[in-house]
Amino acid sequence: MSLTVGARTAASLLWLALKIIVVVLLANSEAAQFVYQNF
Amino acid sequence: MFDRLPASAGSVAVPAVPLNSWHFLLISVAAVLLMRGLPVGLARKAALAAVNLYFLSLFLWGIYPLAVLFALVVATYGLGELKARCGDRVPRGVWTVVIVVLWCLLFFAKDPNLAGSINPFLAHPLRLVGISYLVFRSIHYIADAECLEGRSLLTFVNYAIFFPTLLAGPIERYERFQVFHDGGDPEAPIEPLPIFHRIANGLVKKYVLADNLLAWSSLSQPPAGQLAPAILWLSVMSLLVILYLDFSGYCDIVIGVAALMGFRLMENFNRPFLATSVQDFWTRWHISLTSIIRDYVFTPLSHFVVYHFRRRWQFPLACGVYFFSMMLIALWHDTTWGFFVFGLLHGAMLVGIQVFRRYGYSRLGPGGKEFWDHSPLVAWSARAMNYAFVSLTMLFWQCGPAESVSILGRMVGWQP
Repeated sequence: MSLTVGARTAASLLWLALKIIVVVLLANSEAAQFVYQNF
Repeated sequence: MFDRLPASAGSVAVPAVPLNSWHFLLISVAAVLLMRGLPVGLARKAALAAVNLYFLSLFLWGIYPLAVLFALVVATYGLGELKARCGDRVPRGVWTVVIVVLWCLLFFAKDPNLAGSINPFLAHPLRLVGISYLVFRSIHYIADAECLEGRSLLTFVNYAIFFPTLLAGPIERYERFQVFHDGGDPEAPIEPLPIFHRIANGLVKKYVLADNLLAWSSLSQPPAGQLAPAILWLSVMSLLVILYLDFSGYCDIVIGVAALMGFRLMENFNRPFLATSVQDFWTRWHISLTSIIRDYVFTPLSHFVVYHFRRRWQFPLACGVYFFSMMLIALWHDTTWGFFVFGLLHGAMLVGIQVFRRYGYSRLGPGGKEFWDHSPLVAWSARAMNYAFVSLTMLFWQCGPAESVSILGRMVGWQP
C-alpha cells in the first residue's frame, strides 16, 4: 500500500517538474496580456 | 488583429511583477511561511499587511494613487462602521447614493475622459492597479456591513489589498476572507501537492499557451484585411479560448498561492464552454464579477421592479434590468465603443432569452418541452451556438465596431 502511495507521489512530483520545465522553457512573458490591460 | 487591445488613459499596461517571476515567487514563499509559521493573532495579521503593502508598492507610481487608495480604504471602513452601528437611523436612500457614487468613481477613475470636466480624474488621471476590484470590494463591504462579523480596520486593509487578488481578483467576499484571515480552521489538513499542480497548470495555461497563442496570432499574420476567410474564422473562434487560458490560468495561480497561505478563494470559472446560453455563460465565466453585479445591481433593481410597479409593467422592466446589468458588465471592462456594442449584443440576447421563455417555451407541448430540456442534440447545438456568439461578439472589443463589421463581412465572403 505505502509502495503504491510512494510511487504515485513520485509520479506526481515528476509530472509537476515537467510542467515547471515547460514553463521555464516556453513561457512568453513579452506577449501582450489580456488580464492586466484595463483593470 | 489581436495586438489592437483597447486601453483607456488610466489603464495599467504591463504588470510590474509577472506571476511567473522570481520576485512574485519570493513574495509568495515569504507570505506562505509567515501565514503558516506565525500563531493566529495580531502579529500574523500585521505580517500579512506588510506583505500586501510591499506588493502594492511595486505597482504604485507616486504618492497620488496611494493617497486615493488610503482615502478609499478609510472612507469604506468608516462608512461600513457607520452603517453597521447606526444604519437604521440613516435613510436607506443615503446608502444607495453612496453605492452609486462608488460606481461613478469606478468609471471616472478608469476613464479620465468620461463625462468631461465633471470627471475629477480628468486633470489628474489615476494609475492604480486593480482599481475596479478595489471599488467592488468597497461596494460589497458597505452594502453588507451590518451583516459582517469580525470587522476591524486591519482585516479590512488586508481584505482590500490582499496581494494574490490585488491585480485582477477573484473578488472575494469579506465574510469568507475574514474566516481564513482570523485563523479559519488551522487544523484542517492541506495537501500541498495538488495545490502545486494547480499553480503549475495556471503557469502553463497563462504563460505558455495563452501568451504564445496571442503572440503567434498577432505576429504571424498580415493585417486582417489580407487574411483568407478560413484564417479569419480560425482567429476569431480562437479568441475565447485564448482569453480563457489567460484568465483562468491567472486564477489558478492566485487561488493556489492563497490556498498555500490558508485562504480558500472563490472559483472564477465553472466550465464556461458547456454553457448552453448567454445567460448560462455569465454564471460560469468570471463568476466573482457576475455575482457582485447580481447581488448589488440585478437583485435590488429586480426587487424594486416587483414591489413598485404594476404586474403588466414588470416583465418589460425586468428585461430592462437584465439589459442594464449586462451593459454594466461590458462597460466595466472598458468604456470603449467596442465594449458598448459587446454589451448591447449580449444584453439583447439576454432579453431575447427572457422573451423566448415567456412566450415561446411556455407554448411548447409536453413532448416539445421534454425534447428541449433533455435532448443532447439541443444541448450541444446550444453550446456550439453560444460559443460562436460569444467569440464573434468578442471581436467588437478586440477590434472596435467598424473594423469588426468589416472582418465579419469578409468572414462570410462579402468584400466591402
